[in-house]
Amino acid sequence: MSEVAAGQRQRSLAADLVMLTKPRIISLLLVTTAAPMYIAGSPSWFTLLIVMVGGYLMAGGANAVNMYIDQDIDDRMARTRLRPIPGGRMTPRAVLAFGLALAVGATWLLARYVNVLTSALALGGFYFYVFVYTRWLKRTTPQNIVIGGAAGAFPPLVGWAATTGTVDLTAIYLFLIVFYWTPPHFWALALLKQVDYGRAGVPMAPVVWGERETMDQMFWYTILLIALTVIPVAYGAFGIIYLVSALALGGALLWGVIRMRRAKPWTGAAWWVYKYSLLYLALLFVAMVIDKKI
Amino acid sequence: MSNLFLPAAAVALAAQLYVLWAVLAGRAPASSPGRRARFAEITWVVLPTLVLIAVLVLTWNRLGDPMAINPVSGVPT
Repeated sequence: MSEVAAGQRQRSLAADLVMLTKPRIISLLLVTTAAPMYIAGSPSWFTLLIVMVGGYLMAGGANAVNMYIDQDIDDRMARTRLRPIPGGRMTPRAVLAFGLALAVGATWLLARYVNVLTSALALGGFYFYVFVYTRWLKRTTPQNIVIGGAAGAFPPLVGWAATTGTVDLTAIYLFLIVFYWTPPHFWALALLKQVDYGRAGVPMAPVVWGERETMDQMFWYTILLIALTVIPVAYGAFGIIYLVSALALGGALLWGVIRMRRAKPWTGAAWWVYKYSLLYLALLFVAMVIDKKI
Repeated sequence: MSNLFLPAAAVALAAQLYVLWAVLAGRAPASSPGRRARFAEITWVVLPTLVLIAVLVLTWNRLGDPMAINPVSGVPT
């Protein structure tokens, strides 16, 4: 009987360790890391594997440290109440140690088997997420996810550097695309969870500015995003396949945001924007790869 | 397709300037009162605006110098 209980505890610990890394969020980060590797060149399967593992460990480490820092507010939000620390299943110190160990492992792995620039960029994303977003901006300004969104924009730089050993203009545009995609994506969720954020004292845009202004800003950021996705075509980085894809995907996102601004109630439309924006970013990067390889 | 650059850059800049205007006009205020919070709020919007302008200028310069970009890969040579 005690062996069964011990087995269950081990399975529970393994599930909690995976939960600390936020695997669902990381899956999109890995798409925006892998695609630039193939846009920039033709990496080996080994390099791809190492970058994927290193990227997962670095992002997972950042997410675990984020849960350590946010332990006081996670308990006040329905969305985060079941995480390992507020759930009482892991100690804060264990979570911090786990997160730092993942980051150290990822730094070594990427530097040893890919290159130092790739490792430094991945570590830069870790620091940005932990210190600039979580520690500094998240609880002080409604612009938190705008500036903090830069953390999620590091993966394209990581992927590009892994293949080329450098960062150039197209890599910067990929960074900017993810950077400007973050506000319409995250504010759709923040609109839906604004009561939770308000209760936890996190000044997300809908809590501070109200729903109307947040939706207006989502609209303008979507316009900005679509315009930016077109510019790499102008200097020859991508061709017609990508251009048509970018305009079609961006048009659908813009339509969703406009529909949300007009809808009463708007919750169903906001969910659509949130979920579609995830698909949008993944398909946009896939379209870039197809355009380069055909 | 280089003629796409100017309209796309103009749209991107206009949208970024709206975001900046919303903060300057108080439509998107800081989370707490006070001059310091307002200054920080403006800074967080000015910074991306400056980065965006810098990248657009860099792109414009590269477009004016065909030798600077490999037309196939888009990678500066």
